[in-house]
Amino acid sequence: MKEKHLTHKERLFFCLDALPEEDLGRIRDHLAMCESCGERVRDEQLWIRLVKTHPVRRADGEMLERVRARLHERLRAVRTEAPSAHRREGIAPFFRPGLSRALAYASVIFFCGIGVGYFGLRPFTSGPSSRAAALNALISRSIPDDILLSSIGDDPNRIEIRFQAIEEHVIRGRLDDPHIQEAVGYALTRAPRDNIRLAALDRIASGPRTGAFEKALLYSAEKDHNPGIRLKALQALNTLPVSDGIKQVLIRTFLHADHSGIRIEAANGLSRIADAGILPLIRQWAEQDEYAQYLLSLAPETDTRQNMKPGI
Amino acid sequence: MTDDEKTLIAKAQQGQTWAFEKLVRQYDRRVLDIAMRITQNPQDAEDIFQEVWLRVHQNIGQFRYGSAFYTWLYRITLNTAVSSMKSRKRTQYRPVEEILASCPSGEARPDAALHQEELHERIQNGLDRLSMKQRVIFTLKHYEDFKIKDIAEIVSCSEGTVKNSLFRSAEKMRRALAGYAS
Repeated sequence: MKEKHLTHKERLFFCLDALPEEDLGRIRDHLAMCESCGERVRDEQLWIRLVKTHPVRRADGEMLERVRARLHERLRAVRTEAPSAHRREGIAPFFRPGLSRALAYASVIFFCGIGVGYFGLRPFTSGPSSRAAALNALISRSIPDDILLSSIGDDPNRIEIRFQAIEEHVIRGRLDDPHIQEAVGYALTRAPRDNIRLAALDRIASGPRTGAFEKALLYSAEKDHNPGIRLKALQALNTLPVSDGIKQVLIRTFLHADHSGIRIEAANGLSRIADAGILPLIRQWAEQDEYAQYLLSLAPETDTRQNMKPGI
Repeated sequence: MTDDEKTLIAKAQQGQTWAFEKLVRQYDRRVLDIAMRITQNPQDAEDIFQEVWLRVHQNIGQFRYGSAFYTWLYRITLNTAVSSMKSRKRTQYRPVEEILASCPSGEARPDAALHQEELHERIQNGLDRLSMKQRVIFTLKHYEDFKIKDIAEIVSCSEGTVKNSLFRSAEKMRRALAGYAS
């Protein structure tokens, strides 16, 4: 029996790779035998190839950059006008502006509480907590390089994006990369959320000793509004070789900090320096500060401590 | 949809700006290209591009992972493009007479030389002859390389409808390219 020629639809959809699997074998077999259908399929393929390869109406790179920039501006404007429009619609109720502010205040009060009550002892215990667990979970996940790199740059328009990226990604980056170092330092000094700054601080404290990190620690030790973070930054600074910058920050912190725990840590750092001009000041202060006395009573005996002890 | 993309979308839904920007970067060229091919007008394509991403930004919280993200995005793109073209009535459709006049007679050209400019015009003529829906489906298949099933999902119709549309578009395009494509 003579087999029928392929229909026009069969030829077209064969060329468009749009035939069901069960038909493909039959059509291939037919094409292998039927020159007429093969010729028609080649005609079909020709016009399809002409259309496909014709570079008609495609956006060029310049156009793409232009529309990206315009979109960026428009999205910024939208966010400024209605910063949390979709959040208010119930997508992320935990981040509603009012609640977010309340959480921020609660967080500050929490850290202040820690500062007042426990600074001299163990301000940050290493025990598990839900926050620590969440951060550990974040840190353990791998992230694509392009996300990391897209968060870094000098474009001031991208600062907001950068903040966001830093919050969840840069803290997990490789600290041997100078871009990541810069971004982690940036997170410690500029990230608005306490837990992000704290995570960045942890990374810096366990990372390489670089000038950028020292600068970030100095800033954090002196300027961070969260006393817990200031304290931890001071502790990290006290493990670094003494520099003029460290010395100045320790002196200023010792003289002006509101929290006893912070002053004590600054005093620790200064006693390490053992500067003849500074020690009398520390001694004078330690005589009047019960937390200082408590701390010194716990501290191991060293030459520097011996210098201080007679005054207490 | 990969896990990374799901994470990205979830973050964007939570209002994470960086995640939304990342999604934009992943798909912006394709959105712009498809807008260009459907409108055939750079200015309209740019406007549609803006409109699409603003809509996505506004509605990403409603994406429920029922389909691939690109399917959802393409559907928004196509709906935006089609409604924009209809409302603005700016589609530069050429009069039928003009199209017919520039159509080939069907005879092979004596010199048989395929000049790019002329080929461009022929393809343009073919595209101009397609209805909006045909053009959308044709573009998704021939330029975006979507499978029939995906196209059906994007344009919300059956696979049979997509195939019929492709068949009719092919007829028109073949006629527009007669003499060249043989």
